[in-house]
Amino acid sequence: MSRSMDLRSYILLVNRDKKFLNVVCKSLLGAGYPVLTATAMSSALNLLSNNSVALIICDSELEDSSGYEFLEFIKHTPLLKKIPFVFFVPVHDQGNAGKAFGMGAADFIVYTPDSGAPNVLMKRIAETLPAKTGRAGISALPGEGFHQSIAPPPEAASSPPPAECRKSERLVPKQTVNIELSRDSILWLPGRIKNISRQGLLIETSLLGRLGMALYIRFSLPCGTCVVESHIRHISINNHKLSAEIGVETEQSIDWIETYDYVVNLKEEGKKSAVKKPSAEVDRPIQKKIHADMIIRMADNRKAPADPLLNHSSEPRSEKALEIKFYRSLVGKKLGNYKAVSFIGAGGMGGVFKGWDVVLERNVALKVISYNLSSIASYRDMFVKEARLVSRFTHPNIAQIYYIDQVEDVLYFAMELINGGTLADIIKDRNNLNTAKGLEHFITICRTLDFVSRQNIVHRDIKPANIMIDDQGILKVVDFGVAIVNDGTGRKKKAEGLVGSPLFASPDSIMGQPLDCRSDIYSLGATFYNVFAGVPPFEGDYVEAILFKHLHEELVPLKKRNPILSSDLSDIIGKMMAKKPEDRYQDYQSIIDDLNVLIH
Amino acid sequence: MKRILGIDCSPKVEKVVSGLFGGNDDVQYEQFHDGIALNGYQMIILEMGRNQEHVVQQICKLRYACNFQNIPIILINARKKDIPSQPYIIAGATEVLSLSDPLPACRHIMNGYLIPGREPLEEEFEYLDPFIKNTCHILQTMASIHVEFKKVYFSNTIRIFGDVSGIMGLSGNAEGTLVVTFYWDLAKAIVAKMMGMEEGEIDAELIHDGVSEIINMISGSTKKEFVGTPYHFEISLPSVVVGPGHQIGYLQNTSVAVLIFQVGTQSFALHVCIKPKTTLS
Ligand SMILES: Nc1ncnc2c1ncn2[C@@H]1O[C@H](COP(=O)(O)OP(=O)(O)OP(=O)(O)O)[C@@H](O)[C@H]1O
Ligand SMILES: [Mg+2]
Repeated sequence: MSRSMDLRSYILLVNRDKKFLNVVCKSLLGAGYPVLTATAMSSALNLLSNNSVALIICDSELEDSSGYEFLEFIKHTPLLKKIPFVFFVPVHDQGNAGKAFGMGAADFIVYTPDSGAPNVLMKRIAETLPAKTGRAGISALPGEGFHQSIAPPPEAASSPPPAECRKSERLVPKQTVNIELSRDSILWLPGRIKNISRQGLLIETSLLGRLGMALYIRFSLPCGTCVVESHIRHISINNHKLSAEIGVETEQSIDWIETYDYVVNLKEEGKKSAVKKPSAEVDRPIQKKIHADMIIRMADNRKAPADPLLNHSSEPRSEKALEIKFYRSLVGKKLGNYKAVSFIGAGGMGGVFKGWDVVLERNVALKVISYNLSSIASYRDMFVKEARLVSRFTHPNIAQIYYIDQVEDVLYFAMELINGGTLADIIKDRNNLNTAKGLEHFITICRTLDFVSRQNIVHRDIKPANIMIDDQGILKVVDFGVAIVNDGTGRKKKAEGLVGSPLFASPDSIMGQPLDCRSDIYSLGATFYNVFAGVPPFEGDYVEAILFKHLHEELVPLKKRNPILSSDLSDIIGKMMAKKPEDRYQDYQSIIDDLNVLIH
Repeated sequence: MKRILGIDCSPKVEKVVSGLFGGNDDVQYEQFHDGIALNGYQMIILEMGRNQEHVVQQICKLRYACNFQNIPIILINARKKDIPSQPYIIAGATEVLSLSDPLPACRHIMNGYLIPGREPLEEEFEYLDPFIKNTCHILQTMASIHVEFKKVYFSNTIRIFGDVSGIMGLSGNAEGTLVVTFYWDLAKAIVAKMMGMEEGEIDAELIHDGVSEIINMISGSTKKEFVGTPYHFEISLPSVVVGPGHQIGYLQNTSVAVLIFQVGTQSFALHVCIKPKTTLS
């Protein structure tokens, strides 16, 4: 603690009268005290936040407020309240001494215009200022230099100490520069540059550091992210409900020089694009590294990390955003005999949670059906009926359904929890799947759906996201019967609307025809088209456009997209994706037969 | 029957809210005032005034009044205009809904928050118990303060609402984040006792040191107990942040446990988010 006392070395002189300031300042400097001067409370606070101050000497009236207001503020600010506050007022203001002492003033000195104000002051300062932080403090501080952030009175300026000039280079960046601070380069906290000099930065942040503490500062420059080492040289916190300001001295590295040049040369451009750009770049590495780096977000407009649950900025509020809010409300809740432990993700039909079965004491996945669907009575009936059927069969490649329930309007089912990813993840990550492995998966799914179709069940939403691969490498088809049967009207919805993904929808489902396994065959063909080609069979900017293509546009043969594939495989998928159900394979066994020829 | 408190609700909002909850629940209305008592309510519904700063202040005060209890605060925007909800969420609102949102959505979201929270799983107790025990023990030995563990709830993110918080990033075999968060007065009282000083002498710097020390000790002592378990983590340097309302990155697919402790009539919270690496290496 004594270290910080030593650093409080200035006398801060606050008075409205510039002439008076000059006179007093001169004599204090002459007596060897370093002095800072201000005429208003605001500039005084500025100085306090940039310098170590050992004593405040203040008039009762300031340019922008009264000395009492200033005193009150100081006494309510934890880091500042220990600084002795001395009133130095003309004789006619004497009446308020009682008030001043009541508020915590250390002294109340009265002068008459003729009594030689400086002399009165000098005598009393020697008493007020503890020797340790008085003259002794000055000589103990040669390395720290003689900081002054406002122009000193003219007299003092005539012989400025050498270190003083560097302060004049302090620049306020022309754009908001968001940075991140860390003690350990694991946890990063946001901050904003208030000003910058070659020696360091003044940063606004909620990180409350400590004098001398080492800090990493992460900048995002156009050429990439750059981390600079620094030490905290001063801290100020005005109010514990606000963020703090810290001044840091940076290591003089090449990275720092580059950063300094970048920040200093920022232009005040067409506001939005210029300000947005750097902060978006700051966000990107964070999003990627969210698992490694913990970040704190304050009330700034940072983008939310990839986690949809955190994504409050997904305004304007779409239906999807409201659905997500609904799922968010259920985290940490108990639904029937299940505990919703954490959120996994959401699709068009509902949201999936990692859950815990309280009775059987095992992990489960809980799928909460979207309230838009669950409030349709016919959907609920259909869903319950199908789930009942699916829950009856056990198949190694089908995620088993354990239970269906409705609690307080929340319709959900519990199913086998699969630790792993989906086929959609694998497609995104191209290198993970070679053709042989792809074919093997293809056949496995055909066998699984063959088994299902024999029970007269249509999946209706076959797509890469509904085929999962667990950590043992076993394929699991999920979400049987969750998809809503298309009635031909819901199609106007957005991609994530009421229907399964339009990218894999069969023409018959688009037309609202009664569905049988041939619709699933089309979607399965589209799914593996995506797996092998890397792109879905039809794409478009609008749902309508994609659906139209499913109905009317000729399929680009798979082989054209990926020439290394055999034309037989291309033909099989082409046949699966015939526009008319009667032109497709009529059952899975015939697909399996054709595929088997390929692998032998 | 659920008890719900509507604050600053205009007749329009009152009508909607009463409609949403029907006759089953007990909805009371009150004007906002300092020192508002929230005990016994399962949900607070606040209508958003025009001045953002003022609303943020109100939310902060309501969060204080909650005293770390997990009471959802739903902010209702009755105006036509869409507003970004982030400032309110960070200040402590649980969710921001708009009157222009479809009513079924609002009803489901509010009902979701009214569903009772879950108890910890046994496997969660396995790692929460040492944290609870050590937190009590450390404050007892370092500050001679008697701390009682009150309860735990699970949150979907790490949001802290205290005035001063110590954060420790956990890495290594298990990773995650640990946050202890206090209101200023309690922090001051505890730090004063730790340092053997008068409360009046405690400044921000001492608070920083004290809170760092507390989170350091809690993580350090608990770390030792986890050696040889999947929860074994390494600690780094603690960070101390000031000001209420921070949202901290957390690990996806991992639950965030909020442990509430009581010191006399005051409370503080310890957020534990820890994820064992699936493969022990
Ligand atoms: N049984 C399960 N076990 C583990 N994770 C699952 C399980 N089912 C789904 N998931 C995960 O939850 C996420 C969301 O699934 P969800 O089914 O809601 O979305 P979707 O498949 O994209 O759309 P749809 O609603 O059309 O099925 C999936 O990406 C998947 O990673
Ligand atoms: Mg799915």
